Amino acid sequence: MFKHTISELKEALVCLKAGQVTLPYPFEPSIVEDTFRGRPVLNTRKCMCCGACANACPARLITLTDSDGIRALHFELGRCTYCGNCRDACPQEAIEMSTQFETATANPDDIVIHAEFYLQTCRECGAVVGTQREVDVVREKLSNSPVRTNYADYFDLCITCRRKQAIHTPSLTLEVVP
Amino acid sequence: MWVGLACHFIGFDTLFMQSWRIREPVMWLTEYLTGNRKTYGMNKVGGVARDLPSDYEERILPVIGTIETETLGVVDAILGDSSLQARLAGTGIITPEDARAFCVLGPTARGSGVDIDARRDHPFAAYDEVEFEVCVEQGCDIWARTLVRIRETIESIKILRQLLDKMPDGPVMAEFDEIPPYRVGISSVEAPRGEVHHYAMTGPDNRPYRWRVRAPSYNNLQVIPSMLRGQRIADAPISVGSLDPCFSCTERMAVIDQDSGAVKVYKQEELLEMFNRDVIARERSDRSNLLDQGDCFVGLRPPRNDSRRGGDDV
Repeated sequence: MFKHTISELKEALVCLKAGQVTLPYPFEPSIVEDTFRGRPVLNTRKCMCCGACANACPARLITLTDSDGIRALHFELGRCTYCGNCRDACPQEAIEMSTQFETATANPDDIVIHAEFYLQTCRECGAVVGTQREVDVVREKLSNSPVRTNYADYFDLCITCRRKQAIHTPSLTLEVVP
Repeated sequence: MWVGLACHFIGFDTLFMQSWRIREPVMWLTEYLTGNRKTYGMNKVGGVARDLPSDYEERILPVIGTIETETLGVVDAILGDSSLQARLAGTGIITPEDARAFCVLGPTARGSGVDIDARRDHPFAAYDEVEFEVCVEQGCDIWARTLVRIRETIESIKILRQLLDKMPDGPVMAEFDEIPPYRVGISSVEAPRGEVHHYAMTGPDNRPYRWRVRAPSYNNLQVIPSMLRGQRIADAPISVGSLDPCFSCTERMAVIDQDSGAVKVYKQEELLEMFNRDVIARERSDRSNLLDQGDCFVGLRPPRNDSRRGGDDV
């Protein structure tokens, strides 16, 4: 009995020493660490819809779909664990991990990112070359590079038609199967 | 975390609050080190996703120091608590024979005197370079499991101190290019609840083709019927809780149609219906077999050669 009382006193001491530790969280914002990774945010001005993030996502929540001359980039964040692989993969640094963590919602559409990009089609055969933003990025990078070539003609050609134009020996003009 | 939950199950909410208070700095620390409280997103094939921040040592050492002193304080307080002991000692008995027969793992097995630990038995990561004690208790009851978990917390802090001392420099990812497809790898890792088994089959394009994980809760849950037999109903919550079951870790079956890729998750009613149909159909076929053979001993069933059962018997 005596031992039990001692033990209860010790337990009381543990509580007293701790004091009040509860944070006033819902009434005051909770500050997160600088390294915290919250909900990913897409900067649509930088994104060129290359699909590197879709390839890097371990949960396969990012999809690319083509229809009617438009490529849609879709982030289904319901199962996202905020691992940050999409951010690390993005060549345009268009994805940022924000500090948002209060993402509970009754409407599943609230945690979805949807962006649509115009597609560039081949002027010869009409096949898809890429998004117009992708072509613009390549054009800008080449115009800044010291190498001056006659690439300008090839921007709106698909890879097969590009080969047809560049290689004049008929036996080398192989069909490229995408 | 478990000590707190266990105390909550038996209505001792003071200790529940205190142990979770002690745990909270760890959560803040992992948020700083990895970017999230729980889903760290660190482990990748071939290494880890990102390096620790440069001041990791200054952040980790004070936190584990406080946890150690505070845990010892709480342990010192509860070891003499006779009402807690009266509640936990002698309840939820898992005999060593049962523990072996049901293949329970982790602290549940070690609390019943089964000396297993994947970190020592099948060393992985850096566990062969650190010294630690595998905590085994012979009590077989919930009190023994509590003691195992408390001692393991202290052991973990010792392991952390050794690892911080011995942490080598170098790249965080291994260099590799093409991984041959359709090769199989199996690993077992000692998690806080016991051994976790991962099965992975490599696929084309350096991606996994198949992956299956078996969490220790799956094994540990099987022992519940034998553990609860002859007990009072009031002891059931803490007995089940003493296994530290994680049902979300165990429920992970989805049926995927190979052709269409459609995913189907079975509901409870559907599973029950399938089970009943299966059992009833088998009973009927057994009975008709018996009748065909002209056997009058209906109670004796002929040995079944059911291939579906083959893999599951351990």
